[in-house]
Parts: sequence; C-alpha cells; structure tokens
Amino acid sequence: MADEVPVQEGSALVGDALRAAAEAVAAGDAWGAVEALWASPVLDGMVRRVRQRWPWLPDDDVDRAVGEAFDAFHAAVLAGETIRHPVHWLAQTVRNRAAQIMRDRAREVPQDPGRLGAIAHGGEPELVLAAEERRARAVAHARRLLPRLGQANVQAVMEVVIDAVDRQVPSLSVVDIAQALGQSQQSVKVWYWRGFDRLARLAAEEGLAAEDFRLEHADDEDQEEE
Amino acid sequence: MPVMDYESREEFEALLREAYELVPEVADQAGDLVRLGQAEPLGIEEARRVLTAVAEALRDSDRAMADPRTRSALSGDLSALIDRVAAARDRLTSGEAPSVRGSTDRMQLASRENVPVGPVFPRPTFHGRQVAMNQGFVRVRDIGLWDQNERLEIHLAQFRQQEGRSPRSEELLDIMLSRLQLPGVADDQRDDQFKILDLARSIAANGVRRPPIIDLDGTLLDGNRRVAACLLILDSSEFGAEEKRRAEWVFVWQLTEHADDADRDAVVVSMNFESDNKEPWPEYIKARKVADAWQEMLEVLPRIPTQREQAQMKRELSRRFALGPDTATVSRYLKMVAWAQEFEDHHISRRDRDPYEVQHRASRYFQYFDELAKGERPGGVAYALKEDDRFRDLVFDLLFDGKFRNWRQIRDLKYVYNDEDAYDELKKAREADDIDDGQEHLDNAVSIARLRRGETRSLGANTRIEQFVSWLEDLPVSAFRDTIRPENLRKLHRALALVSKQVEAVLGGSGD
Repeated sequence: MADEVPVQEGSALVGDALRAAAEAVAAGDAWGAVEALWASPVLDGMVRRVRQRWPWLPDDDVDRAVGEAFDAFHAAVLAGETIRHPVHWLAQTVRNRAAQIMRDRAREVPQDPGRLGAIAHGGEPELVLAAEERRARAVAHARRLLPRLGQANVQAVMEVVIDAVDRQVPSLSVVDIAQALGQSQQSVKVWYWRGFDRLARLAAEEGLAAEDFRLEHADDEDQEEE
Repeated sequence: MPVMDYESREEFEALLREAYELVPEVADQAGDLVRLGQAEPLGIEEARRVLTAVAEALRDSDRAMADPRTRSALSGDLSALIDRVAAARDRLTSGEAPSVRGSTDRMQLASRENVPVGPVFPRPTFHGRQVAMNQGFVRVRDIGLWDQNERLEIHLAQFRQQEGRSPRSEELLDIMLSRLQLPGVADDQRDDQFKILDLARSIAANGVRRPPIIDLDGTLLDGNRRVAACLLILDSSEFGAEEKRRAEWVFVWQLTEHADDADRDAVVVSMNFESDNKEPWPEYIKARKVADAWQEMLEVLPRIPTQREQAQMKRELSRRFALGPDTATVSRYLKMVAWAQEFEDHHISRRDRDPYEVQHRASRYFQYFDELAKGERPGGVAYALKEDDRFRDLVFDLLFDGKFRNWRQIRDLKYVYNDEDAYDELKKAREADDIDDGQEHLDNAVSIARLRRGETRSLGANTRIEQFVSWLEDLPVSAFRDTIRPENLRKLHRALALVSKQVEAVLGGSGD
C-alpha cells in the first residue's frame, strides 16, 4: 500500500506521516501506523467529516467507528488486499462503520424489553426499516436511470460505481474500473464525470434530487481535455 | 415521474454523493480531509478519546496484537501511552508552525462560518476616540493572555515575588482559573475567583458573543476572561466535543497597522475601566423573546416555510438579536423553548403547580433543556422523551425537584431509558422525598445503564455470529455457484481462513 500516497500538496509533514503510516502497516505494526498518522491532520479530518454528516451521532460511536476502521484497515493489509489510496479507504470505512453502528444500535432496540412500549406505538424499528427502504429505493432509482445515461461506456462505468456503493465498498480506484472494463484510465475518468453529471441532471428532472443539486468536481479542468 | 418526500430525496442525494466520493482520483477526499483536519484540529480531549478508541479496538484484535511492536505498545498503561502520543503531535506542530506572536509578527485573521475578514464598520469608538479595526477569527490557543491586565496586578506582583520571574502564558491561565493558589485570596474566592467557570459555561452554550480585542501581533487588549474561559472549555472534561468546537475559534477585533499607542490606551481604558452597566437578562427570557419573534414570522407566512426559507428566517433572527454569524443559537433557543413549554404545561396542567413557580424552575434549569432537545433520532434523549409520555413526565418531575446533579446526567437518559433496572431506579429517584436520596437513585440509574451498555456491546458479536451462521447454513449450495460473486467468495474464504486460525488458537486444534 505504500506505493501511492494521495496527498502530495500541503505540508511535507502530511506526506511524511502518510508514508510512515503506510510503512508501519505494511510491516504489520498497526499501532505504529496510528502514531505515524497522528502526526498529520488526517485523523482529525476523518472525525470532523463524520460529525459533519451525522451531527446527532454520539461522540463515543464516532470514536468507535474510527477505531474499527483502523482495525479493518490493518486486517485488509494483512489479508493482502491492494489499497491504492489508504486515506480515502480509511475515511470511507470510517463513514461506512458509522452508518453501520447507527443501524446496529437501532436494531438492538427490539431485543430490549424496556423498548417494547415504544415499538408497540410504531417507534424505532419502523423508522429503521423506513430508512433502509429509502436507501434501497434510492439505489433502485439510480439503477433505473442507468439506461438513460447515453453512451454504453458511461452506463458501464456508472453501473460499476452504483454496484460498489450499494455493497459499501470503501474505495474504488479509477485503475480498478479501467481494468474491470478494459478501458484507459483517462476515458474512465471522463465517463465517470459525464455519468454523474447526467445522473444528477436526470435526478433533478425527475424530482429525485433538488433542482440545484450538483456534485462538486475536484478537477474540472481534466474534463475539458477530453 | 416518482413523487419523492423530503427524506427520500435527501437519501438519493446522499447516495449520489457517496457514489461520487467513492473514487479517490476524482473526489480528492484525502485532500479535503487534510484541509478539514488542518482547519479544525481535534481538541486535546477529543484527541485523547479518539486515540483511546483506536487503541482499544486494536487491543481487542488478536490480529493486531500478534505484532510484537503493537503488543508492546498497547499492553501497558493505555492512558500514559495516549498522553505521550497526544503530546508528540503538540511538539511536532509547534515545531512546524510559524510563530504567530511576537513583536514583529502579525497575527493573521481567518474567515470562518461565512464571515469574511474585513474592517469593522461603522468604525468603533473607544473612550471618545474612533479606532480602525479589522474583524475575523483566530484560534484561541494562538492568543496569549495579557500579562499587563490590571485585574491581575496583585496576583502578578505576588507571582514575581515568589518565583523571581513573570508568569508564562500557561501560568497566567492557572492564576485566572484559580488553579495556582496565592496567599491572601479570600477563602470564598479560592475556587473560581474570576468566575471563569460560569463564563465558560455560557460560552460553551452560546459561543463568545463580545469579540475580544487584540493588537496586531495578537496581544490581548480586552477579553482575558473570555479567552481563559475558552481555554478552560478546551481543557476541561466537563465540556463535550460540540462545546469544545465552539470554543476553539473566536471572533475578534484586531487593531490595524495604523494604530498608535493612543489608540491602544483608548481601547484598554474603554473596555477595562468603563462599565457598560449592563446586567444581562436570564437566557430563558432571551430565548423566549427569540421564540416569540419566530412565531410572529411564521404567522404571517401563507404556508409552512421550506428548510431553506427557515434557515434564512433564522439568519434574520440571529442578526436581529445579535446572536452571531450563524443560526446555531437561534435554532438552539427555539428547541429549548419548545421543551421548556412542554415542561411548564406538564407542571401547570397536570401537576397543578403555580405558573410562576414553574417558570422560575424553567428559567433556573433552562440550560438542561438544551440537552433534552438533543438526540431526535432513535437512540437519542429527545427521541425517547417524545416517544414515551410517562418517561417524559418522569424526567420533568425529576428536573423540577432538582434531582439531576448536572446536565451531563441528561445525556445519559438515553441509556437509562433502554434499561429496565436503570429505569426503576429513576422512578425511585422521583419517589424519594429527600433530594439527596433522589440524587443517589438517579446516580445509580446512570451507573447501571452505562454498565449494561458496555455489556451489550460485547454481547453484540455473539448475536451477529449466530445470525450469520444460521443464515449461511440455510443457504442452498447452488448459491455459491450461481448467485454469489467470485470476489465475495474470495472475501468469505479469506475471512473463514482468518477466523479458523483464531478459533483453533482459542478452542484447540479440533475447533469443537
């Protein structure tokens, strides 16, 4: 995993910290990686990002999500998984773990006799089911729109992406998509942007997303080159 | 065209964002995280908590502990380890960051919360003199306390006499927080002579409302108590993560490069010697004013405002009541007042109490309603209170009787509610005639719930494994060939191989 460290800009401290963390994990030293990463603001950013997205999530659950993500990271490296972008992988796993913790906590309720009263009155389990149903419906809507995205290559890229997000894959590199589809990375990048642009536009037209909904492009100038 | 409710639309937008961020080369999430972490680094208490959670997760993992370096690091005193690691970054960052203070350095102001750095307009007047100022945010930890503050004159002289030197910044803070005891201070002032704790609690709830004033190099000309209170919030375990976040950055006014000594003197004299003769209103009263104004705004609208319209209305209210650049305080007040009204209705209508007595209690415990209003999702305090009238009545009765020792106990109610024994203790707390007995039962309720919650977490693994094994055994064999994707088969195989080693290590070679 030490081959690609995505954050090159900014303080040299960040790059050094990520490299040191990558080396520690590759050597099996999980805590060494944490200490190395701690020298950078990455851990802070991960916690802040989760709190921004789910401000109602208790602090100890956010902390737990971070802890479990590190353990999963270490496990994935030991299992020989290729992690091209460790920070991205960790951040996505923290987010997925936080979402999972929320679902787990809600699911614990029916086992608790103290909550039977609330359940009888149409309380939490129904809400949880509703949330999961909403999620499933959102995925179904996204899949339904795929044939309307135009070019077959755009559809193929978007199908891979929607499938991956549905399966809660932590990170999906352009390299992975390009290899899976037998296409060049630059083409995949362009189809990816086009796919999301069209998906967002169709979603707004159908009332699936707000009219002014848009996804921020991190690197718009690359799109122009195509 | 599908008809989408608000939540479903949010879910779809969230799905698209998640999908978009899945690809690191496009989303630059790593860069965003670094920038976010740099802009809002974790406070020391937050950092300790997160590092502890990571250390505990790894310590519970046989896989991680199989590595001798990790085992060696995590086998000892975790608290000492965390302190060492947290301190290591302090050293790193202090070594890396350029000095922000000093006679020739200019402290840079930052834009935050949609408030740009810029001149204070109209130009403020101090002691009859107009003084040009800029406004913006600075990190509280970058501001040094002012060692020329007349408020501290005696203390500083005492310190110099005892130590033969001037106090360092952290020692100045200790003096202001009454942590550094000096002879001659009256007994009743030894705990918190400068009343920093009360101010800290106010700032924790509302943010810093009057901007401290700093010189060009960051020297604090006005606002020693406010800055000390922010530092206390950052360092004290009494305050939660959200409150620490609120105290990390402070909105300040800064002298310009054109300021002269006469300007500095005018500021110091005006802010430190001239009283504004204000006795602040109780927050309960202020919040009710805001809530009344909110109702008036709603009443003239032809329909229920959208989320965006509500946000705009709150910004207007925030401006009208001088509550700062964001709408957090307005939102908080509205929720608190709604809960206070529920509290009052309960005691006046159902308990037949005197309305004024009830309002006095609501005012006294008004900050507690902030905690009651939090957690509107399943598992939160507000959710439980809304779901169950009996539970809400019980909490309101305990609050009226003063049986909560502090607002943090309100936070633990979400655990108490889900635990039968803890709930019983809560009922006993209400039944107790004596306040001390009631508080003791309430302490018991919180302790039981916390203990049980820890047990539930560790039991969760068994439940999940049982469910997974049962599901796996029921799966038709053909599913492995026809349904399950190869990559998932590989993952399952890896996981089972990994688990197999652990099982053998625990149960012996047979695994039985």
